[in-house]
Amino acid sequence: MFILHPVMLVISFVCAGVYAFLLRGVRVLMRGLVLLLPMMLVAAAMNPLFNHRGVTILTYLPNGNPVTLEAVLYGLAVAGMLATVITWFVAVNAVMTADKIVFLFGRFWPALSLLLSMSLRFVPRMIRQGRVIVVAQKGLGRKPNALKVISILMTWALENSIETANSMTARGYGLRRRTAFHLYKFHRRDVFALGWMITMALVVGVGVALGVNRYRFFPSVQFHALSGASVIVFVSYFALGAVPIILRAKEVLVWKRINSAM
Amino acid sequence: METYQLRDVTFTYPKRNHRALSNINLTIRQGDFVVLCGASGSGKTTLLRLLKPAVAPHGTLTGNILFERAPLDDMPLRDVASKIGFVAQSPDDQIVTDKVWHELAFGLESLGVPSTDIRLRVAEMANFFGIQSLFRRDVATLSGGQKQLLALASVCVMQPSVLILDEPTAQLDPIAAGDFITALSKMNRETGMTIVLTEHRLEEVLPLAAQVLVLDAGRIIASGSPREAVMGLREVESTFFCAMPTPAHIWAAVDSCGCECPLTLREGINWLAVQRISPQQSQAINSSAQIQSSKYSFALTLKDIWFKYEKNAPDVLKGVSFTARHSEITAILGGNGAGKSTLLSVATGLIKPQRGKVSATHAVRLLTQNPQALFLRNTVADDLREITSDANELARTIGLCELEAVLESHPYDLSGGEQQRAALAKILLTQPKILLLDEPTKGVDAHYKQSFIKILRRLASEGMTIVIVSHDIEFCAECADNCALLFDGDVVAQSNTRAFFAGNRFYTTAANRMARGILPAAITADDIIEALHEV
Amino acid sequence: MKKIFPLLVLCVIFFASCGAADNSDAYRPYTVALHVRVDMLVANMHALDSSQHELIPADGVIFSGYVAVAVGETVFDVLQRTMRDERIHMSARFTPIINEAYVEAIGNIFAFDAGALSGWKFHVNGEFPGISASSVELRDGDVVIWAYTLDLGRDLGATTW
Repeated sequence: MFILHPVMLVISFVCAGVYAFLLRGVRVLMRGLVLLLPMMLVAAAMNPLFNHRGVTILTYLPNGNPVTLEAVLYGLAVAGMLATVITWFVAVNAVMTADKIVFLFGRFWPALSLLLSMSLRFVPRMIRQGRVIVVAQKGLGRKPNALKVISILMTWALENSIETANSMTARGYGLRRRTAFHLYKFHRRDVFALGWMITMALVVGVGVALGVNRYRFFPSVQFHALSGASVIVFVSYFALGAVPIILRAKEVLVWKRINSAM
Repeated sequence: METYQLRDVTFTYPKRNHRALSNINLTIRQGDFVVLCGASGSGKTTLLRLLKPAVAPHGTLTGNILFERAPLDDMPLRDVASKIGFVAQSPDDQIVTDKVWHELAFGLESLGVPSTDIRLRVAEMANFFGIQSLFRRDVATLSGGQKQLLALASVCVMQPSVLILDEPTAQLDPIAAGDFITALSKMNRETGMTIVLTEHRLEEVLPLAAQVLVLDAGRIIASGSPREAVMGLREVESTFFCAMPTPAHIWAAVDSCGCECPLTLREGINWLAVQRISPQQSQAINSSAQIQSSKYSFALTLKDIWFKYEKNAPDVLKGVSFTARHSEITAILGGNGAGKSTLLSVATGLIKPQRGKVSATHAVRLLTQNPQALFLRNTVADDLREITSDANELARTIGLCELEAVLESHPYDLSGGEQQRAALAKILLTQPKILLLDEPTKGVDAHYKQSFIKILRRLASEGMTIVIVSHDIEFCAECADNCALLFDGDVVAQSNTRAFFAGNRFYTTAANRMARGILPAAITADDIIEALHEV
Repeated sequence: MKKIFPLLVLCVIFFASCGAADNSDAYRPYTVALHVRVDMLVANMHALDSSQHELIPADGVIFSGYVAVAVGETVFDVLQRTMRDERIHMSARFTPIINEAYVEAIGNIFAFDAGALSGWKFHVNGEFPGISASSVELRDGDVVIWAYTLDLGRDLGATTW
C-alpha cells in the first residue's frame, strides 16, 4: 500500500477498487473516484512547487526555481498511493464494524475494549438525550440554547453514570483476572487464509528488502530491470491484495448457485 | 436453608437524625419470592440495597445481616458479585455495553470465566429468556421492556442464588411490565432462585409472592403471605391500601363478614357476587355514564392529522382528529407505538404535520416523559427560581405541587413522584393555559399518583385545559373527564370517561372488569366501595 | 467532472507563466569568473547516497567560465542566471522580509545531502563574506567560487561562515 513502485501501485489500486466495487457497488465507487481525481491532481501539482529535485528541468517558477519531471512523477505516485489508501479504506469501512474493532483491541487490552464498547453505547445515548432535552425545553415554551442543553446533559450523564457504575460493581467489575468474551471463532479456513497472506507478505517483504524491484525518483527516475525475481514479487503482491476479492467473489458465486438450484 | 437472616437491623443515613430502618427482623428462605412494598421514603429501597454490599447505601448499620448463615460483611467480593444478583430500576442506566451479547457476558468477564464457558452460559440464558433473536443487536435498538429483560438475563447468567430487584418495572409500560414479572416468576419456579423485589405495581406481583413485607417509616408494619399481609395492613389501618390490588383494596374498605381477602380479579369477582348491592346506587352510577354534552368550548382541536418522520417511512399518524375542551382533563390512551408521543409533539407545534390542521386557543405547553430533561440547578428551589423570581407565584406553585419538603434537595435525589411534581411545578410557572403531559405516572407510586390526581383536578377546576397521554388505565379512569383511545395512528374512540371504560370489555380498569356483572358503569375502586357502603 | 476543469486550466496557466522571466539584452559591462566545484565530494564520494554518484563529475567541476555582469548584480543573481542559461539545475530558498536568498542546491546536490554540516558556500576573490549571496554585489574582474562543503566551510579554508 505504501510502496511507490508504479506497478505495485497499480496492482494495489486495482485490488482495492475491485473489492470496494464488490462491497459497495458501482455508485459509491464512482462517487469516490470523482472526489479522488481532483485530489490526486492537486497532490501531483503541489509537489513540484516545493520539491525541486530532479535532473530533467521542464520549466522555471517565477522565483527562478526549476520544475522537474521527476518531482511531477513523484507527485503523481504519491497521489496514486493516496488514492489507493482511500479506496482501501472505503472497502474496510464496509467490512470493519465497531465490534470487530472492539474485539481486535480486546485481544491485547481488555480494558480498552470495554471502554470502546461503553463509549459506543454512551455517545449515541448522549445524542438522543440531547434531543429529548431540546424537546423538553421547547415544550416548556422556550428556545433551547446550546449552553443550557449541554449543562442539563452533563448533569444527566453524571447522575446516571452512578447507576451504571453500581451496575458494574454489582456484576463484579474490578475483580482480578478479567476476561474478554467475543463472538469470533478461528476456523480452519481462517488458518489457511492467514497462512496464505503471511506467506505472500513474506515473499513481498523479502523481495523488497533484496531490492529486486528497486525504484528511485531522484535525482533521475530509475527502475530495476524486470527479472524473474521481480515478477515473483509483483505476482505475490497481487496474490496478497486479491485475497479479499477472492473470498467475496466466492461467497457471491456460491450464493447465486444455491439460489438458482432451488 | 435461609438465604438471608436479618436481626435487629437499624440503619441511619449520614447527617440524618431519624432512622431510615429500625429493628428489622426477617428471614428469607431459599426459593422464596419476597415482595417489599411501602410508600416512597418508607425505607424499602434502603432495606433492599443493604442486601447487596456492592450497592448498599452509606450510613450507620447496627444489627446483623446473615447470608446463608454467615455474616454478609465477611463474604468474599467474588461471591458477592456472583451469588447476589442485582437489577435496578432504569433499564438504560444499568446496561453497560453497546451489544446485547457483550452485556450478557459482562458479569462473567468480570469473574474471569474463560471465553468457551461464557459462550455456553450466555447461550443458555438467551434461550431461557427467549432473547436469542436479539443476541447480536445494538442495545440502543431495544425497547424498554427488552432492555430490562436483558438486564435481568445478564445478572442471571452469573447463576446467582438470590436476585434483588429495585422497582424493576417502574419505567416499563404495563405490557412489558407483565412480561418482566412473568420471566421473573419463571426464574423463581423453574430454578428455585430466591427473589426479593420492591415494587409499587402490586396488582400482578402480589399473587405470586410467598412473602410480603410492608414497610412504613422504616418499620415492617405487616408481613407474611399476601393474604396475611393484607389483613395485617387492615388492622393497622394503613393508608398504603391504595397501592394494593383493586379487589383487596375494595375488600379492606367494606368487608365486615370475615370473608377471605380476594387478591386476584377472579377471586374479586367471586367475592363481589356474594355482596349485596343497592339497586339505587347501581342506577346512580349507570345514569352518570349517560352524560354526554359538556358546557365547555374546545381549547385544542386536531383535525385530520397525517404525519410521518421520513419521506419513505410509514405514516405514524393516519388522519387523527382529536379535541380537548377548556377546563377539562382529556386522556389519550394507547399501547406502545400507537403514536401517542408524536401526537403530543404535533399538538405542541414542535413538528409540523404533512396534512391536517392544529388549532389552539392559547399557547400549548408540553411536559415530556423524562422530567430529568428539565432540571438545571442543584436544588429544586433554584431550579424553580430559574423560571420566575416572583415570590408569590413561587410560593403558590410550591404549595400546589407539595414541594415544601424537598426544596433544598437535588432534583435527581427525589423519588419518581417528587421529580414529576417538581417538573410540573416548573412548567406551571410558565403560566400555561393548555398543558399536555406525556406519561406523567411513569415511575410514580400509588400514593403520589393520588396526590398528582388531586393537583391536576384542581388545575382543571381553575380553568386549565389538560391533555394526558398515558398507558396507565387506572390513573386515567380516576383523573380524566374524557378519554380517547389511540390505535394504529388514529383515534378509534373518544368519549366521556365513564362511558369510555364501561363500554370496553378488555381495555378497561380492573374495577370495571371486577364489577362488570353487577355494576356495569363502575370504573374505579371508589365507585364499587361507594355502592357497597350504601347497603 | 465539471469541477475539475477550472482546476486544470489554472494549473496550465500557472506552469505556462513560469518560464517567462528573462531579460537577455540587458547592459552588462563587467566580466567576472564563476566556478562551481564539488572537489570535496569527489574526495568523499561515500558521503553521498549511491543514487547521486552519477551527478558528480570526475574533475569536480560543474561549471567554469566567464560571465558578463550588469552593474548592481549580486553573486546570487549571477549564479541563478548562469545556471539557467547553461541548463544546470539550481534551486534556492527565499526569506522575503530581509530579501535574502539561500542556495540549497546546484546540479541536484542539495544541502545536507552529504551530512548535517554539508551545503553550498561561496567566496569572492578568496574571501568568504559570511553574508547572503543576494547581499554581495559584484565588480569587474571578481572571481566567484561556489563550492560544496562537508564541514560548514572549514574544509574549504573558511574562517567565517
